[in-house]
Amino acid sequence: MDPTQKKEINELAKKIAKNADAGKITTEELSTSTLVFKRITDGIYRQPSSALRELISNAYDADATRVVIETDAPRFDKITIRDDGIGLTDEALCWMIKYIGESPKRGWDGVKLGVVKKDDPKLSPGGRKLIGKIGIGLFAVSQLTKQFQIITKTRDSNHRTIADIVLATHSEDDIDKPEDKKKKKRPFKTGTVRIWRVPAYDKSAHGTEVILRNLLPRVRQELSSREIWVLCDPEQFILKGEEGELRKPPRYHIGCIHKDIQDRIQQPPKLPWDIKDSPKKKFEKLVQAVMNEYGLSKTNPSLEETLDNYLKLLWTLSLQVPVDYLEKHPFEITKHDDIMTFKLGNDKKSQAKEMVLGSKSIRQIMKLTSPERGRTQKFRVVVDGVELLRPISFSNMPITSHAISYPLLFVGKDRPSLDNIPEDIRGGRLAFEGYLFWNSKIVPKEHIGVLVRINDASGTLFDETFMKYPTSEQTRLRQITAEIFITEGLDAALNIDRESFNFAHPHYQYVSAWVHNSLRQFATKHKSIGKEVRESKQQKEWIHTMDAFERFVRKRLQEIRADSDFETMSVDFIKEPLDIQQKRKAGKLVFDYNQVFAEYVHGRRKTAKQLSEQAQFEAKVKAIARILDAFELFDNMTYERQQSLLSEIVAILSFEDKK
Amino acid sequence: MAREYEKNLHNEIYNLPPPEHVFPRKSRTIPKKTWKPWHKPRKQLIRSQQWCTQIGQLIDELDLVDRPLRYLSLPGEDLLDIRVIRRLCERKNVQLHCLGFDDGTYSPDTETELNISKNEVFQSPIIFPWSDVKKDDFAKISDENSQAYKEAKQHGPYDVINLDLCGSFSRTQEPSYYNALKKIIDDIQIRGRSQPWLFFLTTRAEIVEMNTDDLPHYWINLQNNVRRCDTFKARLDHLLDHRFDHINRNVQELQNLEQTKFGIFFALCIAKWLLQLMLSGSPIWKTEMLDSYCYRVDSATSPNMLSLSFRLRQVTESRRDLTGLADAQTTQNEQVDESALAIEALTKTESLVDIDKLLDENPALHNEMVKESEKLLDSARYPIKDYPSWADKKQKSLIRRLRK
Repeated sequence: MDPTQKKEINELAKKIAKNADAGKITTEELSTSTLVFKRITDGIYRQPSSALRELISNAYDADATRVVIETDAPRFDKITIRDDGIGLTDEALCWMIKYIGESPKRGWDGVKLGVVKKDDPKLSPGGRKLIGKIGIGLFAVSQLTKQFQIITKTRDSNHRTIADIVLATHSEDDIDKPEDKKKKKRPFKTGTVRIWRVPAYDKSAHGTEVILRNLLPRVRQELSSREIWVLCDPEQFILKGEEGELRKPPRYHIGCIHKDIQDRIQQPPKLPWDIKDSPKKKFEKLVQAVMNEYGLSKTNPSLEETLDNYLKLLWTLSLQVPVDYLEKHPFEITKHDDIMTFKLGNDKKSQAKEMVLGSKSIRQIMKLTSPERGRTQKFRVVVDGVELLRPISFSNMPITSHAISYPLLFVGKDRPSLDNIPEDIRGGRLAFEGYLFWNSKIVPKEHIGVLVRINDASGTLFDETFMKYPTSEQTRLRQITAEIFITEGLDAALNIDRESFNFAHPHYQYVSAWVHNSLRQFATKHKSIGKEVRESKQQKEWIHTMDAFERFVRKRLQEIRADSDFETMSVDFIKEPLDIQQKRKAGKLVFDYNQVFAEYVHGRRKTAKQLSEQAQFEAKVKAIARILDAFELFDNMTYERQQSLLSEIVAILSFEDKK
Repeated sequence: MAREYEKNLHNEIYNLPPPEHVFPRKSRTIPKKTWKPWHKPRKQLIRSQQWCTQIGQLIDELDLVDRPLRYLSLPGEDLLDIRVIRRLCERKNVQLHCLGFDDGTYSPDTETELNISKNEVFQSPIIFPWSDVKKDDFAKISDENSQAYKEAKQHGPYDVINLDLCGSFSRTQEPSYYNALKKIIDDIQIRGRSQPWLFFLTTRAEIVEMNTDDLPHYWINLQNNVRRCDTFKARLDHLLDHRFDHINRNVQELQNLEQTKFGIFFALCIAKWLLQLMLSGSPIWKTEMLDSYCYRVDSATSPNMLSLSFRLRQVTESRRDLTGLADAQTTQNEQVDESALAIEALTKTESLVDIDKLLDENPALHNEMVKESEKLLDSARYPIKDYPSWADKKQKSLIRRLRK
């Protein structure tokens, strides 16, 4: 405890005692220990992709149009992230270093530092909705390395600024012992930085480059999928004598480096693209390779089994950062995409309504706005020559034997009016757009669930619980992939790692309620479409069967009555006695339905299957009647007797052993 | 045993030097950059008159509208060659895609310098975005399981390969440059490519610097021409003071050869090696030696460095209809005569331009190169105020040696 802390605590304790003596309540604002931030600085992430995601986010917020990342794969000695954004002014760089975690973005401090728009601190200078926080990138980087450099330049400046940063590793050993109280308290050292400038003659150049040097061994091992290769080829990686079941490498991988020789490739790469393909083509082929796994290796292909850690990292980043979709944004879907589309309602009793797209896109019909990227729409991220694109596409979906053979898309938007809720608990304004996409098979299986994007970026991946949707309909849920595009709010509900949400935040609760309500609407509509499809299918099958049966009966009749003048007579079962009489007068072979089928037992409510069975049964009885007529058995019988004969046949055919 | 295992486990986690600042380390000020031999005006002459002139002609010939110029080099931490070629590409309005190799033997300070240079150069829109400089030894390209090979393959094939060495192309250290270059040619340059390309080679040319094990190979390669062509034999005899027959058995013979002549001989050996290599497969490629230079390093009085340039062009062969059904006149195939090409190479090596002498005899050209160097070094943040006096001092020292 330092002298300031000691003083503050003593004063508050005295205040409590004094107020208690006077019968008063003490009111005090809560504050957080700086130690918490110190621990956070040391690293809060689990995945190497997090650092890259945060650095890409910073580039996006700096209005970059292009980010180039070189990872030195599969060696992973260093990683370089270079953008063509506005660059950091010396002041912005100083803020980042001195106030790690306290981003000046989204505040008026950011305006002064030139990192946000002058008249709206929630936007980048170029008008993009902000997705990152400057200081968070440092947290993330500390997970990968303890030493890195930042080289940055702003447009028209005559210098580049270089910051060489070395981070310290947090140690609990640093805690002072009570006997050291006379010793001056050691300040917690996050790290040190050396900053200098070099002259720049390319005045118009601008951007920031982050060079992550000497990646930690654990990070290198993870990026190079060492844990997989150990199981594939233990001889190469662990002590001889270890035994275990060998596993097959993932279908696609970047190969692996020799365990002792850093620049020697032990296992050559197996990539889904050709080395000469364009950056975009490479990514297209990666996605296609994963999609092709359905029907090739498994019915439920996963990224986990198909790709190594590095390729999964590319996939993860492409899902998280604000890049364009592989084909097009789901809101650009039109009638030509052959996807049945529905509009979701926002009330508890709303029902999804089918949308007729006509010549317009979903975006045009529903007036959807995401993503909003301000003036600079273009944002490309290229990692080792592979351009990241959102690996979500709605064409050429896998086909299964499911009754509904086409995909369904449910789209909605909401801007709840929270005016009635007190300002200090509503958490600010909230607005979002979203879709639920149903297909009988979602590939890869990691795409099952809902992915929430704030201003088109996401730190989370697909939440397969659909924000804890309480349902037993697991099969239907496993056929849905969904994205929610938050255009306003929810950012405060992100935990500090930006990879998970604070479930208690009202915005999160509202979005989750909306998702659940949408899932309910989807389920109702899906069931009803399924029913229609099944009935229609059965109807078609029945017609087909009846046609075949009619041809069969005619053939039998022609064989019975080979004489040329015999006309095969149709048979009708009619319920109205008057109609029966008239038709008999007209020479038709008709019978009283009620009498003939008196013994055919069936309930009032029938399923489609039962209706179909009944129709087939009646068709068979008709056929029997026509056969009997062809053998001229009806010729000397009264109508009553004819009907009795058929009634007996029906009774025999419909006999069921009730035991 | 247990302790050993524990130690290994520990090493897995802490197998890193303690993190430290790489620049500036000792001093809190930015260290002043020091002048290097390749900052002399004569190197600028090579950059400008050899590299840029020939690359400029190649750009015109290739008509690069839908792809960048691909350039492979050993750029050093200041990326001086890339800076010069970038300017050329800006004038020609052609994108430049470069891949550099730096073997990483430099200090951490120079690593930072490289990072800054990359930031300066690669931010230009004329530079193809996925350009990079890799911390690898170029020669390791010879091993297809190396990271260097993977990178070279990924960025190639190249319009220009510039092997700007300080030492000798014929080195004792493994892997050899022959293997690396052959691997690039086999796997990257000629596979699926038919357009011409340039090869620049800067190499030390002294008997004491070369791998003498290479000599018998060079000898055999030249012997074929000596046998077949009297002209070649006569000119080679003249060059080697009639020592050719003895060289194979006794390296000492070469050591007794005048350094200028050795330089020419070594240039010829390399030219002939490349010539036979490119003619050995199908389709064949013609190697044409372009204007090449020589100069002096260290305290040599005779040229002991070569700056060679070659243009490699695929020879196309028209189809032959053995049935005679296609009666259209067959296009005459280009005649490729190895002996004639060898004579051409010999002629070119005999006429190597001594750029130290050239600049000595042309003060105006020297001044022009000083100015160009100054501009280039200024862009790389060198304290150019001192440059003219340094360049002048070096030139005077060189002139003294030349007068000797």
